[in-house]
Amino acid sequence: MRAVSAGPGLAQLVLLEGRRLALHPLFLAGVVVAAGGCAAFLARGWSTSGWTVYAGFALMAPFTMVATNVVTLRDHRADTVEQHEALPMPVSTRVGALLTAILAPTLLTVAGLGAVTAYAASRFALDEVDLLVLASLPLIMTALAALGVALARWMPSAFVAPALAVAFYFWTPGDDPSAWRVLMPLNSADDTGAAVMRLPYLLGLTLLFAGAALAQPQRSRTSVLLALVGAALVTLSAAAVLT
Amino acid sequence: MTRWRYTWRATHVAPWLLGAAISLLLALVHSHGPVAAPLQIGAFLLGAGAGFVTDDPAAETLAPSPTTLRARQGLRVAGAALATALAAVVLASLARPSGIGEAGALVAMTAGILGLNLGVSGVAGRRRGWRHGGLVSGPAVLFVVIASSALPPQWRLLPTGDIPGGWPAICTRWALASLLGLLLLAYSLRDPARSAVNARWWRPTA
Repeated sequence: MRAVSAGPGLAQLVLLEGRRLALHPLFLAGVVVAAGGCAAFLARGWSTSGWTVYAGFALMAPFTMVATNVVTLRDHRADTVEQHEALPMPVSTRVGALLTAILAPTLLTVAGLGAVTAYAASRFALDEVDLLVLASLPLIMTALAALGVALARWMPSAFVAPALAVAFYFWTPGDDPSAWRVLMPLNSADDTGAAVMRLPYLLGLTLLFAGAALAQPQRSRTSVLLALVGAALVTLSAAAVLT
Repeated sequence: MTRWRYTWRATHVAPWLLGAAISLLLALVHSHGPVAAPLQIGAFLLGAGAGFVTDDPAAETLAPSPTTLRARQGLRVAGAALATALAAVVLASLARPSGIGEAGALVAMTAGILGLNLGVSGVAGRRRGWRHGGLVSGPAVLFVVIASSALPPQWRLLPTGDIPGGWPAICTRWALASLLGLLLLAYSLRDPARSAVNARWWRPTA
């Protein structure tokens, strides 16, 4: 039996999963953290507390990662993996829908961040690095959200994503200036060169994780292509950031 | 002993074991670096792993059995608490803290995070069924700690860094967090069949 066409089913799944993600309690917890960061900036100004905007939205990303992970693991929790595998729509289409649905929290982030950035730019002097660092935040969100899906596909345990979120929280701003910490997804950048190169780095991570998510249980041309392009972007931009 | 063996067999211990293994690895790798970060991550991993021990897919089947919910879950929680205490001591001895104050603060933090995880896990299990505790507890405790770190140091209820008052203040706050979590757990483990009306007014006649 041939699988049904992905078109209309995919669109419906994207809408359904997007709504679930945007209303997920863990994503909303991240929104609260980001709102806290914005409130601190509004209370104390950009020069004193501009960094709290970045920190708030950056900390929102691990919560989104756990939310996408929990949503992807719904089948495992409800013991409906086999039932859904019996549907005419292939697994890759459902995973693709989840990966596309990541755009829902990302677009909400872009809207919120855009409003805060526009307000900050109208009242304070934001330099080039500030703008580039703020522009990297939606990419951090997509990269970690795709990682949440990939983790659920490869390691279907509700423990792994929260454990990784804890590691991101404690390791990113560490006092130890090890080179590898620069490559942590939540890390910021101090100069224009590093801030520019972090954009393709984060895009590469997103493609790599999306490819990894699609490659389970069956590798397809799309998954291999995504993973290869992502790996190339990550390697080149990481080398540029580190040197 | 038989009861312990059966409880162990039916308990979802894989997340705790994974958390303990990662914590041990971190403590060994970072044995020459700063002490706090690996032990803090270890505390979170052990606590989040312990949150899964209240998950019981057979809870509905076992609900009418003579063994009460408190007894069934109490054994699981006691096992997780003992194992976490042992792991915390091992991790602290590997990391070699600067003094008794820092060691006490890290152990109190582990106890606090464990208590909070168990409390949240118990509440989630009570409200949404005994399959959701572990899913909710880890992220919920992380959120509370992050929210706490946004407060001024003197108001931080769950400090992961310095606060006024030093080590004793840190130990006290985490001990209170642990107590709060355990109270929540105890409340969520009360007998589901025992309603307030039944307990006060209804007495079965022989």
